[in-house]
Amino acid sequence: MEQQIERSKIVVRWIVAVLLFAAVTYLKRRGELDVAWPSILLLTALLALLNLIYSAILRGGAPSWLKYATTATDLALISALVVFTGGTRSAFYFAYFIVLISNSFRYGMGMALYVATLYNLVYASVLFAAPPGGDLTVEAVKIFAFWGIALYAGYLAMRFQRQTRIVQSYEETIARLRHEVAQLKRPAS
Amino acid sequence: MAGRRAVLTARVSLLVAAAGVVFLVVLLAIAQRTTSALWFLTFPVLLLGVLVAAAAAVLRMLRHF
Repeated sequence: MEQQIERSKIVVRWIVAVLLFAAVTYLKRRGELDVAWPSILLLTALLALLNLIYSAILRGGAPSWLKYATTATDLALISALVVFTGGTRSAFYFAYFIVLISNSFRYGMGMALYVATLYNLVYASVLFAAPPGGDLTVEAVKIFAFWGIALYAGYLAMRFQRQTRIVQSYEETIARLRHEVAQLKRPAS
Repeated sequence: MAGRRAVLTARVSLLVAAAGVVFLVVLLAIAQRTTSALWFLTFPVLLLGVLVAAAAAVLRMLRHF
């Protein structure tokens, strides 16, 4: 199950990487981004390398630590992109939400809290590395909003997981009853 | 419930709720006043503290324990 989820995350990561690379290239050509090509290429290469490493690891199964490691590296790469593209004014801030929603819906409340905690720490580091200057209340509100969305996404995932379990138990009951009916219909020999 | 030891007594839940209020005040004070992003590193602990305190208070009010 976890192996399947991580494999699909690899596919999503390739798609998001291509889209973000295209967006950065487009904005840079229009002169709306002041970021050096080596930084963009380094980030893209790093993401590609990590994705290849994850694919190789997943060939032999999914270790329990992998989901935490992939989430952490995703958030670190997004933070680097945010720093390179304007810090708090970056157009790529939304990418944090892709990681949050993708992981929370797949793994549930525990992962939602993990992503929110990690985001909180890395975004505070981003703010420290590229300080917006003056009052930081807006940034605090951004962090609170992220926590709120994380908790809501985790709650929805919990509900979804519970309903999935209920449907699964119904399916098992139906299968058992069908089997019992078939036994009753069979003529006694 | 007879014979079962209370997991969260009234005294403990009051203390936890009071700690939650303190955490919330600190959280809002940092959000409003700070000029250093390093203070944001305390948010996960404070936020989770507030959530745990709120959960304990609600469970106590609903007589869950």
